[in-house]
Amino acid sequence: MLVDRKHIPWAVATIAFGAAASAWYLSDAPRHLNGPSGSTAVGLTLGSVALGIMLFCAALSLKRKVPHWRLGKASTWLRGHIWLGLLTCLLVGLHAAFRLGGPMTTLLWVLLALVTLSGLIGLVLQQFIPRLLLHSVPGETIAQQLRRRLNDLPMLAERVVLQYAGAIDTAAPPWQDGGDAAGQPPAGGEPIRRFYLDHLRGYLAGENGGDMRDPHRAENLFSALHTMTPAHAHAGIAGLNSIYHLHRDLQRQRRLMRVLFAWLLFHVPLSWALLVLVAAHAVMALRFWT
Amino acid sequence: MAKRMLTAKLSGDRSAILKAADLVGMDIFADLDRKVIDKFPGTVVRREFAAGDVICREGEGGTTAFYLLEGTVKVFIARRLGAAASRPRQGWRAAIGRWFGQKRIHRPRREDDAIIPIDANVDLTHGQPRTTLGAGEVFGEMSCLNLAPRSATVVAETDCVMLEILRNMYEQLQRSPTFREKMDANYRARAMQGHLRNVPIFRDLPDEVLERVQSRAQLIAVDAGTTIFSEGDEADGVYVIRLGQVRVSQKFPGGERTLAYLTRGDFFGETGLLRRTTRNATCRAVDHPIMEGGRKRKPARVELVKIAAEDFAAILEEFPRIKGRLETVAQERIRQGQKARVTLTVSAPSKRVEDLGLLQGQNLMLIDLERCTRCDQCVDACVSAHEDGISRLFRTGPRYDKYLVPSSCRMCLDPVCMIGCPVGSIRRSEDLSIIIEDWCVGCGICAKQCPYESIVMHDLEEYGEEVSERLMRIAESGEVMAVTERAAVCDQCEDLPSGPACVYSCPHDAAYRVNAAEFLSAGGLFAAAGGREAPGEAS
Repeated sequence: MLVDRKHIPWAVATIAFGAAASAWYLSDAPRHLNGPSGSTAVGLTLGSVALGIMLFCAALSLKRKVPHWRLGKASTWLRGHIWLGLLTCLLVGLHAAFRLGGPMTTLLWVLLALVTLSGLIGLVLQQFIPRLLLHSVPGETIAQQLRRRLNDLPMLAERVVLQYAGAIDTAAPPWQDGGDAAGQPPAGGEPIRRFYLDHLRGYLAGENGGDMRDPHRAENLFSALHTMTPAHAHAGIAGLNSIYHLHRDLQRQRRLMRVLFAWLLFHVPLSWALLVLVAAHAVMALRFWT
Repeated sequence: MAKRMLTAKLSGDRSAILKAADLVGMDIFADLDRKVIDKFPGTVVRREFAAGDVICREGEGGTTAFYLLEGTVKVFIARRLGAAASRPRQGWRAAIGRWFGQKRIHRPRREDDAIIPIDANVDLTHGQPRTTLGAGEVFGEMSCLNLAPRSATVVAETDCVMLEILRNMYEQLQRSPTFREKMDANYRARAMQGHLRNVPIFRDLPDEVLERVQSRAQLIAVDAGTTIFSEGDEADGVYVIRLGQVRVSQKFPGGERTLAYLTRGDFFGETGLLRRTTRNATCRAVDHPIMEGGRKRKPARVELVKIAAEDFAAILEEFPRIKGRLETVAQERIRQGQKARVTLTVSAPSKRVEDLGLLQGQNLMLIDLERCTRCDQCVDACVSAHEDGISRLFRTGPRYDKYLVPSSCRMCLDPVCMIGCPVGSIRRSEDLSIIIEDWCVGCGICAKQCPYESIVMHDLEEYGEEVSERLMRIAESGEVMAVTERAAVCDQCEDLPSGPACVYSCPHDAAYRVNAAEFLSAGGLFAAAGGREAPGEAS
């Protein structure tokens, strides 16, 4: 989600609420001989609010299962998720008096830090990766079709080669004078066939290495091919060039989308783990609360 | 080509190509000159069908008309029940979903006695989508003349004999006074009353009064492309469509705007008479889309029933209370016209805007690709908001500036998708969104007609045994169940108070619905591009 002016009220409210909670905490702290802790009324209240916010944040993933239900706009939910999620860190800190405590609470701190950090990374990625996709992947497709489209490209390239060279795995016959009338491919297709076999096929098949991975080198190869073939074959070269570029685009899209969504692989399971442990922590704490 | 198809279907001794000598002995060819008949050899085939044989199936392509010589046939729309598979899902989750705004797709939109127009001298009704035809009746006229898909499934009820006729011979027949009289008489006897009852002013008239109207009504035919009346003309009558389609348009500052495409059974021209004013819209007979894109051939015919202004006035005088109902319809039409009135003041739209047809969009969906994280929540919401589980939105399409224009209905100014539906199942709702009714026969004409690929055809097979059994009950034949497809189009989630589910559920504020003309003319695009104003706010 882009952080824009619509976030300002949320940011102001978060800061105000955080400041109020901190003031309450600071005013209450001197009253306790052993210092503030999670078991004081203030600490328990702030901890409960933090738990409530965590539950709200977790509910976002449930809301996504029923996207059209009238539970409020999804964008409002997401803004709340971001800002209230950030507020949680402060509230948990106040609740725990900024101490790590025992192994369980330390683990909770670590999880909270990881969840917050992964969320922030996701937010940062969402600021620029959609723009990158927009500007650097003109041939973008929907994610579910990426693999299929990539798999189709070698077939499309082979069609072009067949049209201009007549064959792929055997040397093109030395046809003369075009030969279009007899349904034969025009002369001059052999360089295209060689280019395809030596450079493009491996690249489209996703093999590592090769000259085509470097875009400048690839452009040089296409230019060289252009000079080696007669004019009537230039349309074929243009076709191969566009297939090459589409392949690059789709590969780039795949990489960018992996980056764009990778943080979720950490954020979601860690969030649920945090929630389970927080629930356990709450049960244990209340059981032994005096 | 059509002739080859006609003869290719000949099988065994149950079909025979008729020669001129055979035809001249038949009453319907009695008026035709022998020379005329000789000019079109091999265009009429005599066919025999045993009881239970399927003669044609709804949604299939067709190029011929059938004239029944003996026996009776059942005519029905089987897939109306097939489409009923979009009935609400059952269970607790569906119940909660409806409480929170899940949309019911299958809901009664019209009364049971409202007509479903088909390609015969009789219509079906919602409550009873089935009828029979007997000797002397014709079906498949629109398929023959306009290449329209078959509008209904026809199965031989008894052993029957019929003539299958190609267009060139059928056109000759239409010139024959005897044949015309016979067809007009059939129409007056079987379908006209239903069509007239469709007009609000005639709905509650006593039978004897309606018969009077019926007897005075003129049956007229015009070629496609003909202007029936123009905006500003004197109102001289009200029209009901007997065959073909009519485009209703109005002049606007930026050009002419299509308000509606009307089809068989629909009426027009009442507003001018009711308000005693000149015509407020232009009505033009339109051709079938298959013909427009195809070979050069004669324009199709549009047949109309005209009720003269004097007869109309006499009824209004005699039954003043029904004036109110007609006034309601007239007001609704005027309101629709006003709603569609968007000032086309976009200064010199770029060629790209024109090529993409953006200005057609009265409710164009845009996805801001700088905001969109490609999470597909919009598509998931579309699927989840509709009880048939079909997405009306595909996140693919052309880009314009930083926006993606996805495949989703734009509520076009000129909804050409509405041209040519053989059963009139596509219509515009009051808020101008396109609705495909449940009796869609799955011919795919609307999907082909939509220039923006916003109408999707989808299988109904997945709906399983229950639907198959219902189909079997109505069709009484297993053979009619072969193809089960229907069209789906974005209905703008008109019933959801939260608006389109795709926009509502976008977590990144990246999806918008805008009126393209207003949006572009207000410079909203560029404002939004600068991050100062979101399109929803701009419009």
